[in-house]
Order: sequence, then structure tokens, then C-alpha cells
Amino acid sequence: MNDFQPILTKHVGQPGSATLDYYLIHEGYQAARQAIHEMTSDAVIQVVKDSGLQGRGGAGFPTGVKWSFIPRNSRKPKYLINNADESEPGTFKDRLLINHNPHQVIEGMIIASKAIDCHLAFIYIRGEFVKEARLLETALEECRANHMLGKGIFGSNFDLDILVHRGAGAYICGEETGLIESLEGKRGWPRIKPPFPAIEGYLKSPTVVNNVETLANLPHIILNGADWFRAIGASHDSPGPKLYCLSGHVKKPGVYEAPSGIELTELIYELAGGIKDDRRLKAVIPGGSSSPVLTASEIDGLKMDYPSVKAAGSMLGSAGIMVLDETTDMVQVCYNLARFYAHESCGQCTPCREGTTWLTKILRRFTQGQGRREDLDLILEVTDNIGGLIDFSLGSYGKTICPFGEAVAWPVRAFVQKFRNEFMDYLVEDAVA
Amino acid sequence: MPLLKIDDQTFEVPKGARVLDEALKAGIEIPHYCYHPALSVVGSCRMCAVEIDGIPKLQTSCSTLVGELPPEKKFEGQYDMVVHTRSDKVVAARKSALEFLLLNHPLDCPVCDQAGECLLQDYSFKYGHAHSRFIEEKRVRPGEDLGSGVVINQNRCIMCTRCVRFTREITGTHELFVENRGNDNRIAVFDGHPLDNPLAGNVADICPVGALLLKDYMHTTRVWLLSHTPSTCTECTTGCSITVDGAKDRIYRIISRENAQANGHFICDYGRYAFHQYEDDVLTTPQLKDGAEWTEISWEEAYQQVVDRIGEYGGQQAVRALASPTFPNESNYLLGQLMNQLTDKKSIALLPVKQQEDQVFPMGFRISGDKGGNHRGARDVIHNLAAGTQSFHKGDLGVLIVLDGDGRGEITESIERLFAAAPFTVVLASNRSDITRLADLVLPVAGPFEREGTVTNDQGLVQWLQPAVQLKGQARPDWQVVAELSQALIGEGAMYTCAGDVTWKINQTIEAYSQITRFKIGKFGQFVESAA
Ligand SMILES: Cc1cc2nc3c(=O)[nH]c(=O)nc-3n(C[C@H](O)[C@H](O)[C@H](O)COP(=O)(O)O)c2cc1C
Ligand code: SF4
Repeated sequence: MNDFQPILTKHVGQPGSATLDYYLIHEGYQAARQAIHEMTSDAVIQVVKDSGLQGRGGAGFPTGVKWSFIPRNSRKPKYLINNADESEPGTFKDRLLINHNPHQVIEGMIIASKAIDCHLAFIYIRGEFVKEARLLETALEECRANHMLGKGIFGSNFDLDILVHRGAGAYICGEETGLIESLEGKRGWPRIKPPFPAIEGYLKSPTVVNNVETLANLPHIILNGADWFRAIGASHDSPGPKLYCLSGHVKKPGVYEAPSGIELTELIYELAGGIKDDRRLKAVIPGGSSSPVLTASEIDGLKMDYPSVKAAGSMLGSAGIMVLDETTDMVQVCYNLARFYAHESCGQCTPCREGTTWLTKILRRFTQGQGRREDLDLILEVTDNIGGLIDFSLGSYGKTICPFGEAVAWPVRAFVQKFRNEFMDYLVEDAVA
Repeated sequence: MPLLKIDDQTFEVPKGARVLDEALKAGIEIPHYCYHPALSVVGSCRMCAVEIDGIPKLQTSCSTLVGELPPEKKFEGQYDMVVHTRSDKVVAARKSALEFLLLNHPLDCPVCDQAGECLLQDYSFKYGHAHSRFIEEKRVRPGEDLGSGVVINQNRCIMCTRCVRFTREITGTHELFVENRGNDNRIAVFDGHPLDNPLAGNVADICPVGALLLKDYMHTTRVWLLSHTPSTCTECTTGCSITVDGAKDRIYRIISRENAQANGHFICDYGRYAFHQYEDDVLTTPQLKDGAEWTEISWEEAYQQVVDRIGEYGGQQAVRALASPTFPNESNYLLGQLMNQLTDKKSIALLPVKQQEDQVFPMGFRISGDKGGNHRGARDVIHNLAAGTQSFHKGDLGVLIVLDGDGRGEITESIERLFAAAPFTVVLASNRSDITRLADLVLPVAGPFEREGTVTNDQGLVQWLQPAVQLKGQARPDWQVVAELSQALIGEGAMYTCAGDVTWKINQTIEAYSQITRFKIGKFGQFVESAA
């Protein structure tokens, strides 16, 4: 870690870093030029596959592999969508990338477009990111004015335009098929898969949805090669620079760029300066609100890459790390979380629409001192019925259209299982006794 | 062809076959709410989840299509897909889906019109929990009038969105949508844009629970008190298959009866509510006009009147007739036969009906503009049909015998002239209409839902009309009255003992109908031989 130099956030804080002029002085668009002029689509896909880059949107799916699902000989147009919805609680990395270096993201989109032969790409950005949307519009305008977007970019015969689409503030529009529906002008209701977006996505055409951070990595992979990327971080299988969002009870919350596989304790105690007021750590939510909470003892030596966090019974997700100290009331946190999910459920499938609200009602009852002993098992059963039995070795048994069901079931379940004693303190009988 | 195994049954199915469809076809029940064969698949209710070998997650059988596996990947060396509909996991998933659906449900079955034909009730009984574990407060929301005679009970809605998809995909009118998000989801219409299309009533038919209800039917009866008669709508030449739900002498509602050869899954609102048109001014006895007064007479007197008047006004050669575009083939056929024997001219024409524009909906449903539901059949089964009534005025015009048009007969100038010129007019009708008002003698016959026989739609599909309610007063079946008239006038007709006898006679004498039998018509009809 000591000799790690930031890659994605290198220019953060530099005056003018969001402008094209600044970006061009700092090797900007060289990778895109190279991909457009000197590389075939297959070559781009291959180098990204070889690099081991995994999607940074949450699921950690290998990016090159995802691209290779796009049917090559389909006569339909192919679309790339940059997922800038960043709505997972605890996550605020994409926003930083857009704010400080929008061209890096756009360059990544050009490279991805080359890879999948896309000529119209979209940036789906959450509605609240007003400033960021404007910044992107300005940056895209700069590109168009300099023939880096539009007809025949960089003097080639490759056409590409990128449009910004602002969402209206729904968490579920970050889920890729909900996003696609929303982009089509419909209600953000996720679609049943298959067909997967790579076959039938936006306007029933082959579509790739990639996260902002995923795309921002691409210029560096093209310029420096797959081996260079593979060598970054502790894990050969899950390499690269990674943005970690630290929030909650730490002294210095913020986005930290570090090699994948950095230890969670290093992130918390060194980069983020340790626990606020030097209190004791109680628990950490490691990958955004959808990831199961880990207790203080579970994070010892935990490496922050996709496979390691999964092995620990949670997930790296969006790397939104929420640190909870000893003063935290876990029942309240759990209730708050359930309430968020009940509010954000699109309401399409039965278990999620009904179950999230049921959980919220039960948990609210707890916070009001009306919990019953049997409710604890009931909560666990309800989470099972929404998100399926959680056994990472078997995969999940999701009962919903989209992974939102699991996203609420897993964390709620973890809270109740790992902090059962705190829930017991809220029981109505115990209060009376 | 892929080999599909569902539980212990094996099927060869076409590639791309839908697991749910295949199961249902084979009589294997997989409970489902959101899936409807006429609508797009959303897979949202989660009731139809099944376990499929090789896939760890349960899959919705509505959205799972059977593909073909390479030989080395086939299950048990032969199956392309192995589906379990009764495994522990499936049973548990159904149970939990039902539990979720009932959390906020008011459980007001005793006052709910859907009770007895409610999929929530049926599946809960079969697959659900007996007790609720939900002790929180239920979500309570007021009901609303959505327009076009449809109301919604929001508390019973299970958000299957069949109705929303119906107005998007079938009618293309887009009135219904889902408002709000998550647990606050509700079916709604936009302010000032109520449900307003001629197929609107179908949303109540396809609602699997008691959420969408027809005002017309609401709180009128209980479904288990009704008899369900499969029949055919004659309100236009589309000829939809319907089920007439009635009890003794009253019809409570008409719903669509699925028939791929005719209407598909739906019916229009004209047809749905048409039965109300025949509730008033029902004719129950033969009546003779005496100046401005109508006098009730017996059937014997009535037939004698016809015989006497024919003798009085020019004899048999002077008799003219109008066939009905709405009556079944049988009475039209008999009238045609009678006329061909009474006269040696083209002495029978069709009563004209009001014509409108066809209404065609995006998914192909068509409400025909031709309101003479059996127009084609009447033309098919009458020999020597005159193109119009002009020729009737040549020479003597004697007694005019008319089959009514069930309120859809149009009194054109030439019809008015004909009635004015005829010295004596006999009308066979079920209800008083514009036509009966012009008659001298009215013979009460079966109404549209009391008739029996065949009707032929504009595609040449012959379907059966099944009487759904009893005849009123002294009214007689239409075919029988024409047969009795024939008996009185030419001594032929007594050999017919039921409508089916006449159907058989049509089969024997009308070339195009030589394949049409009651048996072949069955529930879904039989096409006439095309001329080509
Ligand atoms: C409920 C839900 C919300 C999501 N929100 C986001 C989001 O805000 N941003 C994002 O990039 N991915 C989000 N995802 C993940 C996307 O569905 C998708 O996997 C991702 O954008 C793919 O990009 P990647 O391959 O580059 O990771 C969400 C997924 C779910 C289930
Ligand atoms: S799981 Fe929840 S959010 Fe996802 S589609 Fe179903 S109801 Fe919507």
C-alpha cells in the first residue's frame, strides 16, 4: 500500500481537472485514440478480460466477459449505458470521479463503445446529481467540438455520441434493467431475466450497463496493459485500483483509492484515521447497505476484494464502507435500513413489495418497545421468503425479479442474527420484567 | 423436439414452449396470478415458481421457455428440462407468496362478489397458511370508480397488473397505470381520464381477485347460485363465445368464453351488457292489432289468422317475407323453405340492420360494425334470397311475414314502404321493437338468450346458441313457430322436434353446411366449407 499511487483519483483536487485542456495535457484520450485507431474490438475485449477488471457497480462481474456476451453479428444497434445512478446508501465514489475528472469517465465510455461496437451511449445519472450532470454535459460538448465525439471520432470512421439522461431519484433505477426501463421512458420496474440486457436491453437491442468506476479504469488498462493491472493489489483474481467510501464513525470519512485487497482495518484505522472519538468498533457494513454487516471480530485481517469479502459472508458490493462504533443501536440501524428498502422497493414482485413493508412494521414495533420474542424468528423467515435462504456456497435462492429482494433480506437477516441480544433488549416482556 | 418432464409426466414440446402453458395443458395445476395468455409476461406475482433441475433458484414457470440441450447435457440422458411443481421448495415458496398477498387483504370474502371464483380464495385454501402471522395494522384504502362501469376495491388488489397490461396491449387506450411505489402501489387512472373503451369490462373478467368489479353485477347474486351456459353473442358478426350466467328467468351477467377461433379471450361491452336490452317490453302472448289496440290471442287463433289473411290477400303467391340477420340459421332456414314453397318468385329478403364502422384494437380484437350477428348465416341458409324488397311491390303484395331484428333492424325508406303497402304483417319477435309496432300480428318467440340453434359469424364460423334462461309466458322457440306456421300453411314442419333437427336438415340440404353438425360444432364452433 505504501508505494501505491492513486490512479483513478490522481487528479482529484487539481485546479481545472474537469476540463478537456487539463485532461489532454495529462495523457487524456490517448487510450481512446489507441483503441479507436489501433485496436480491434476483440483486442479491446481481450485486454480487459486479461486485466481481470471486475465491475465496480456491485456484483463484481468480469467486465471483459460481460462485453463478450454482446452478439457480434446482431444487426441491431448496440448500446452502452454508464450507470451513474449511485444510489446505494454509503456509496459516493462515482460522484467524485465525475466531479473531478469527467473526461476520464467519457474516455472509458469511448473504449467500451469500441469494444462492443456501440455508436450511441448513455450516461444515466441520478437526478440529485445536478452539478455532475451539468459537468458531464459540458465535457461532452468539449468532446464534440474537438471531434472526439460525433461523426468519425479522432479522424477515424467510428461514430459515437453520448447522451446524459437524468433519473428522477429512485434507487431501483440503479438496477440495470430498471435503469433500462427508465431510460426508455417507462416506470423503473426491473425486467425478468433472461433475456439479459446483452441480448435484449435498451429498446430490445444488445446493451451493456457498466458502472462509472468500472469505465474509469479502462483508459489505464489500455495504456498500461493487462499485466500492469493484474499486478495491482493483493489478489490476482480481483485486481486493480479500487475506490472505497468510508462513512460513519470514522475520523476522516471520504473516498479513498487503494489497491484492491487492502485490509479493511488499514482502511479504517490508517486511511480514515480510526474510529471517531477513539471509541470501540462494533461493526462494519463493508459494501453498501445491501451487504450483510460484519462484526468487529469478523473484520480482522479481512481483505477488501470481491472473493475475500464474499468468503467472509458478506460482499464488497459498491465498497460503501459504513463504520459503526460501540454506541450504535443496531435495532435502529436495522429499522432504518428496512425502511429505506420498503420505500425504494419498486413494488412489482409480491415478496419484495409486501415483505419489505412487513419487516419495517415489525422493526418499528421493536423500536417502540413492542417487540415479541417470536418476532425474531419471524423476521428471519420473512427475509428468507423475500431473499431466499442465504448460503453463499449454494448461491442464492432469490424469490424476486431483481436482486433487490436479496439486498434487503441479507442485511436485515445479518443484523438480527449477529446482534440478537440487542433485539432482545427491546422485547416487550423483558421491559416489563 | 425437446423433451420436457414435469413431475412424473413427460412431454415432447416445441422449442420455446412455455413451461406454465405446457403444465396447464396437461392438467397440472401451477397456481398463477399475473400470467395471462393474452398479455405480456411480467413474472411478478411469483406464484408460479417451480424448481428446475440444474438451476439453483426457483424459476417462474410463466417466463421459462423450454430449449433444446446438446445430447451430452440432457438430464437423465434424455430430458431437455426437468421441472418440479410439488417439491418442498416450491410448496414453501407458494405458501410464502400467498402469505405476503394476504397481509393487507381484508379477508372480506363473505361480502365479496368474487368469492367462489376467486383465485386468491382457491389458492389460499389449497396452498396457503391457515393462520396469519401478521399482527400489524393493515393498509386500508378507499375504493374508486374507474369509469365504464368498473370499480376497484383497492384493498383486495394483489398488483398482478393484468388490467394495466390489458389497457396497454389489448385496447391500446392506456387508461390504467400503477401509481406510487412499493407497498403504496395502486392501480389508478389519470385525473379526468377514466377507463373509457368498449372493451373495458374485460378488466373485471381478468382480475384474478375481487378488486375490479362491474357495477352492473356487483352485489346482485352469489356466483354459486348461477348456472353457466356456454353460448354465442349475436350482437355483431364477430360472434364472440360467451358464458351466460343466469338463474331461472334472469341473466346476471355475461362473460367472455375463451375461443381461439372466434374472439380469443375477450368480449366487448356492448355484448357484455346486451342482455339488459331484452329485459323490458317482453312479448309473452300472440297479439293481434285491432285498430289502435292490441288484443291477446291464443296460438291457434294466431296461426288461423295467418291462414285466413293469406286467403284474403292474394293467396300464397302474394306472401312475402323478411328474414332476420340476428335470428339463428334454423328459423331463417325454415322461413326460406316455407317461402320457396309458397311462391315461385324470390319472395324473401333480409331485414336490413344498422351498419357502423368496425372497431379494431391493437392486438386484433374487432367489434364488427355489422350488428346483424347472423348476417352471414341467414344469407347462407336461404335459397332464392332477394337482394332487396323492390321486387315485392310488383304485382300483388299480400301478407308479409317478418323475423325481427332484435332492435337492430333498420326501418329504411323501402322497409317503411313495404310495411305500408302490405295489407297484413306478421312479426315474430321477443320484445316490442320498432318493427313490431308496424305489425298487425305479433308472435312471441325466444329472445337472444333463450334461442337455440346455430349462428354463423363473418368468418364462416358456425357456433351454437344455447338457451340460458327460460322462455317467458307463452313465447315459443323461433324455429318452432316457423315450423308450426309451415305446418299450418303447407302441412310441413311437424317433423321437427328440436332445433337440432333443423340443424340436421340444413346439413342435408345446404352444400356449404354439409360438414356442420351439432357434434362437430362443440363448444368452439366449426367453419363452413369455403366456396373456393
Ligand atoms: C437494487 C440495485 C441497485 C443498484 N444500483 C446501482 C447503482 O446505483 N450504480 C451501479 O453502478 N450499479 C448499481 N446496481 C448494479 C447494476 O445492476 C449493474 O450490475 C451494474 O451497473 C453493472 O455495472 P458493472 O458491471 O460495471 O459493475 C444496482 C443493483 C441493484 C440490484
Ligand atoms: S425485487 Fe423488489 S425492487 Fe426488484 S423487481 Fe421485485 S419488487 Fe421490484
